[in-house]
Amino acid sequence: MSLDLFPKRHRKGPLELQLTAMIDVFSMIVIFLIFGTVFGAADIVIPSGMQIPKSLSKEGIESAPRIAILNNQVTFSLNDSTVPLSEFRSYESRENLVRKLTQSAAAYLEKQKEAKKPVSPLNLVADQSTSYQDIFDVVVVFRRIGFNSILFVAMGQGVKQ
Amino acid sequence: MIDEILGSRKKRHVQDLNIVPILDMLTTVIFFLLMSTSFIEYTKLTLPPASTVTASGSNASHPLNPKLILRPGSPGKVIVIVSWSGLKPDQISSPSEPERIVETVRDLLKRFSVQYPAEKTLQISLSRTLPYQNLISAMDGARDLIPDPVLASYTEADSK
Repeated sequence: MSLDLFPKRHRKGPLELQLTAMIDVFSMIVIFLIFGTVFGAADIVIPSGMQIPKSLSKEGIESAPRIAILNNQVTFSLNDSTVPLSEFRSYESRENLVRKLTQSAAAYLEKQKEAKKPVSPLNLVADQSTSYQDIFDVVVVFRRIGFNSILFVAMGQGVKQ
Repeated sequence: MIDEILGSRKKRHVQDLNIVPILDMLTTVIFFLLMSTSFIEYTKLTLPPASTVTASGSNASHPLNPKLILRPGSPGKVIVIVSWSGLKPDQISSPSEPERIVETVRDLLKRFSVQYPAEKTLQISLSRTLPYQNLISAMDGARDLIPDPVLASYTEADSK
């Protein structure tokens, strides 16, 4: 018979942080975040010195080719071409322009068709003081090329320029 | 000595499966799957049988080609006009400061929609000299009642 008057105290080990489980969880989160992220889908470069109009609309910008009207020149982002605004005025020069730009936009519009997208959008960037005549003449040409949804890029009212 | 002669058998070490990280991973996967699941509710639409109706007087009185036109007015002002043709052609207009185009357009279109609540088409035309900002303001004013207006040529505005 033995009397256990002084039972042995179990020594508590130092508290260890289970890193493995945490690393697993974080790895999964990182992988899902990377897969769910879309890089640079909707960004627009506003030419320096341009003041785009202000709008009350809360719609976000869409990923689409861009045309910019600045200093009597129209820049088309799909082929980086710059065309003087005067070519959008007369009927003959407009027809030539439609033919020329249709070739550069053909591949893009074909892709849109293959993806079965009902609309082919185009972002229009212009200074707020650009005349309606300039805007309308440019829109007419690009609609004829096949861009059936023209998106006017504007700045939200609360945003400072 | 005897052990050396007989040779002690080494006990096999049983490898434990570490379930904790697997459970963690599965919990995370389930969480993400639940978050990305969209529950679809199927609905049934019953269309009424096709029938033919003859246009009556109330249909015929609907406006034709409603237009929102902006033209330069007295210095520093813009004239906003809503006009339409059809059986009862008419127009309503109001002068506006460029900063208040949104409110003026909204007000005129509200008056128009009281008369023609079912009308959802609108053509917007500006005089050729008016700035782009005026077009955006006019579209902002029209958005509540007509979400997808159509641009019309500046000749429309300049010819009136």
